[in-house]
Amino acid sequence: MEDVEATVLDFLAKKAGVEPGTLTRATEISSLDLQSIDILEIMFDVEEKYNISLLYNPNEGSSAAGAGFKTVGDVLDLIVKQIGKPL
Amino acid sequence: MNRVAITGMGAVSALGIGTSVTAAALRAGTSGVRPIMGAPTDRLAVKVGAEVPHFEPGEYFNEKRISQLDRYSQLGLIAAREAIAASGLEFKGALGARTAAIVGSGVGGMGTLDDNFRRLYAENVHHFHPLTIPRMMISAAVSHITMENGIKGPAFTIASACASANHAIGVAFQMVRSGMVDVAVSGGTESVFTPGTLKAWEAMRILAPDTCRPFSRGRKGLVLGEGAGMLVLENFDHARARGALILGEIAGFGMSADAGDIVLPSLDGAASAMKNCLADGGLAPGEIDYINAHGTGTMMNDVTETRAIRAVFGGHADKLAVSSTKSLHGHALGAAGAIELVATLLAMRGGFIPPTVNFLEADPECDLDYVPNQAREGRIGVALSNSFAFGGLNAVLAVRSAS
Repeated sequence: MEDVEATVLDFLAKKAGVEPGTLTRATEISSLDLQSIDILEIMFDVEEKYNISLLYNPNEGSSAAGAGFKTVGDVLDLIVKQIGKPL
Repeated sequence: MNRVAITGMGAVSALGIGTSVTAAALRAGTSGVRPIMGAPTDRLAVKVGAEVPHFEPGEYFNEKRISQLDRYSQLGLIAAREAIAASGLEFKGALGARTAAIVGSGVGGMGTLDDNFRRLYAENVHHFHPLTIPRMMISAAVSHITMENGIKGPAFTIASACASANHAIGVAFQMVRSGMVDVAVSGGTESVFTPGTLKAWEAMRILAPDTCRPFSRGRKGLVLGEGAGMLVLENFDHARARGALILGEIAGFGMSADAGDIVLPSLDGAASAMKNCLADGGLAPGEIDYINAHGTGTMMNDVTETRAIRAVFGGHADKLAVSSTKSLHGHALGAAGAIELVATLLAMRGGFIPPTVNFLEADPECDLDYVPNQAREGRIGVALSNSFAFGGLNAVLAVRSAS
């Protein structure tokens, strides 16, 4: 699962325009230059790379920025959990 | 500046075909959200939609015409026929050149496009139907409306995603008001229940898996709809001189652009469009009784729209009835504003306020009177109908009761 985490961190870092090494699980999404649509594009990148379908509807999370994620760790958890348990 | 009367209307949606079944469903609160029938759902995560029920094209068009008509044009023509028949107008002779046809659509003939591309890419079929282009083009519906009726004045399609119909009706209203034309047939039409289009919508992750619950806690997104709404707008004096039944009056039109995000809504953009509409019609906020909200059922729209209404109406916001009839007929995209304007007029004429159905409980961030679950008896004197599109293109219409 560490590989998946590293890959997702890379996708996040690329979208946010920062070095992957600067991101930790505790990094707040709101501190990065990431909009909800960027998170959707990262989900798509993951789906393409691992050939899976991720279940995620931002309307079911909190209304904050429409994304429902507070930290980088939240994004990692949602993705890693679903890749660990392929659909 | 001329006053602009509404002398005909027609509707096709998940609530059924025709304004009388539409009015009955609005009053009863009968939702048209059902399992998707028009496309295979085995590769879709979302399996509900708001499609036109029991629709057989052969009941409305002969074989030859069907080969020219994408479903989106068929639905538009059926609504236009109802509206024009109700108006009692015929466009033969001089009136044809003094009549406009302005129709909104978000995407045009997606069924035609999807069918043919599937044949080419998946089935390796090399021959396309010769009418593929004239069926799919986004202006096909308005062309057929002019052809069927002999309308020879200004005619074109307006595309502004989910605000297309409101922009179209607004521009038609301005043409009649200015005296450029005496009559305009205007509205919107859309049909997107194709496998490719549904997959693309699903990828945005804003479709509700269950149903459409605008402004309610527990809402999970929008439900796609299809259909058409059409109106006959007529110079008020022209309508009165011929003794036409006046169904209502377009009282104002306001537009704005967010210049913000390609998908996220903006409080300022929505509020500007409502303010511009009130100013255009010389309306005071206190004159508005009802708002047919954009109310898509997404987390972001419903909170933003609520705040925008509060920003525009101040204390009067607590006296307004606000409902989203999308909870009943789904989000018909480029046709939405037209179906919702017809719904508003039907409620106005029927002496009731249409409900927001599927409402579970109040969301603290949405704190207006949304007429939850049950229609209410009540008089609507002046109403607004809001449309706020992806990409921040906003259009708001005001209608006034005829009585």
